[in-house]
Amino acid sequence: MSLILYAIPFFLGCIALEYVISKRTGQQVYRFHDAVTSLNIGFISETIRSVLKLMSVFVYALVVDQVAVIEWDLKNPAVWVLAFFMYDFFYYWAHRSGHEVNLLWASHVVHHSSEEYNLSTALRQSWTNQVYYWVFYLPMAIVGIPVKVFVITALVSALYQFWSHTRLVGKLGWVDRVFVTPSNHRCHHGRNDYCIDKNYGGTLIIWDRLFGTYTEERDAEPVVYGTLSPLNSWNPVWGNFKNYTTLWRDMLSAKGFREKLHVVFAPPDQVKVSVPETPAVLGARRFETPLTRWQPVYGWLASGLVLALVIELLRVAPDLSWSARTAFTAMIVINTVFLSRIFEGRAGAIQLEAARCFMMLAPLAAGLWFYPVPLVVRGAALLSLLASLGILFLLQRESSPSKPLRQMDAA
Amino acid sequence: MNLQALFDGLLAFVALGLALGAGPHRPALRMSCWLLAAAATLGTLRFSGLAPMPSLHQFFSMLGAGVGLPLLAMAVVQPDSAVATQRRFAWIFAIVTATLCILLVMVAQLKVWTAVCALLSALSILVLALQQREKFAALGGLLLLLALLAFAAKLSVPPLSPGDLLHIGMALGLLALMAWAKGPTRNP
Repeated sequence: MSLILYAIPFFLGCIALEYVISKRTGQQVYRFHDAVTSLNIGFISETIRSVLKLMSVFVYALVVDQVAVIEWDLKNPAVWVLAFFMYDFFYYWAHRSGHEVNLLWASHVVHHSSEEYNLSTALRQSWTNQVYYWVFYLPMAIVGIPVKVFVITALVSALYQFWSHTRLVGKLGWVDRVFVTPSNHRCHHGRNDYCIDKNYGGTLIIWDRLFGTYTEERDAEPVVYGTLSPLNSWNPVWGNFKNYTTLWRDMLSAKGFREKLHVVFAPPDQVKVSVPETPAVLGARRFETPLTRWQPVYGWLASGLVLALVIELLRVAPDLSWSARTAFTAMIVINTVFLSRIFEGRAGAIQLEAARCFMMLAPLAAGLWFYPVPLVVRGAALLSLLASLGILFLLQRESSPSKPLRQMDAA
Repeated sequence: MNLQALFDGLLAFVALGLALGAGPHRPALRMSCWLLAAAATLGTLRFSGLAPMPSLHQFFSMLGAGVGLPLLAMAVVQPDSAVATQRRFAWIFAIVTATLCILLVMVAQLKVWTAVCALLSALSILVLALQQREKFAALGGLLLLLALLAFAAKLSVPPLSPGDLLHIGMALGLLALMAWAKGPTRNP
């Protein structure tokens, strides 16, 4: 928990820095709706993954306890070196499976659903991948890598991967051919032909070179970000579950048990889809909706509230019952869904959001929460409620209800 | 060298022979034999006193029964399936069954799971091989089934312990499957 608390300001600080540098150098790296969606998906993933991580660490510890071949001393540097290489190797295979097995792609796709590439994309993490990925690291438990070493190695790997999600760092020569860097990871996020299913590494890119999945960024073919089946939405829930619904539909339409299993485990491009989508081509328009004057103000306020609630949930989670924890998480998720409806210009979205604000913040301000809340929090909730309702009123005034979704040309 | 180590060694030898003999077009067969060979080798090391790693032996025995034998059954019963013929799907099958094994046996303590997997695998090999008139495969399935049933019933024939009978029966069963694998219809 405390590690996440320390990491959040660091991540947000880096994102702010990247934004400032991109503005000063005249590069358009961020789009408001996309960045806010990425951040909200990331914030919520922390609450969901914190539970799933605990479960996976429990199984890992159980295997270490019952099977471990060697009892390692934490002061032995060999265990740290071994853990680093083993973790990175198994990360490669977990990540590769995330792209090449349809069921796992349904989970991982959200990380690739952004059509931008910046540090906020690094936080756009799946809510469900922790359900599967722990399995890949169990060989480390069999070798006896202690839980503490495993957790720290995983954390260091996650921190390392953050910096590679930027367009502001160019090619780095030989470093690009040994480590995962912004240049080779940009290819991984591309939908150009030469980028598909390439550069799966976490920290070292040597695994891709060993197993034939390495590619270099080409100056002549700038990377176009996103997936071949675009999300076309700012909704974090849809982002996380769209491909599961597609998978379910394809399974239902498949004939026979064997074909249904094929739909689940085959590579995504080899599955006969029930409802064919037109694949996005390189020159395709990016998903974009009108950004009104007050949307950024409300977007940042609402996202700030989401972040505050996530931090609070992570803080009090150990003392909450499962039902309270689930309800708390659901409230945060609903918060982001309603915000996305405003971004998408949906009819009635502002009224619904006003009702949601009132139903969530008014009880908090009145002290009717899952647990007793201090007066200062109640005051902050009241202020947030008033500010939210005020900005929503301004949003309502500036928006015309019939304004349709539109798409803008790619920059 | 005691009898337990000897018969574990025999099983390891036969499983290794089958793993190396099976061509790359049979990844499930190879993978299952490698798993059984690994478990048996660890048993040999354990019972001979050369390098006793009882927990690791138990773990691989669990995987042998819960992953290795179902993979073997897929290779014999559905020889043209994606799992039997493609490395990718053999790996997916192995990872999914291994995860089930770990969750059910180690976490939920449902130890009967591996026994059920092993018995059903042997039974399916026997029944489907009989249907397809594959005599060596049927013999292999029968020997595997008898060995597993004898072990489950803790049957012993002094000086052979239930574990020895299991290992002898499995080695003979794998030898029969080796003959099946080398047969003209199964050797493209």
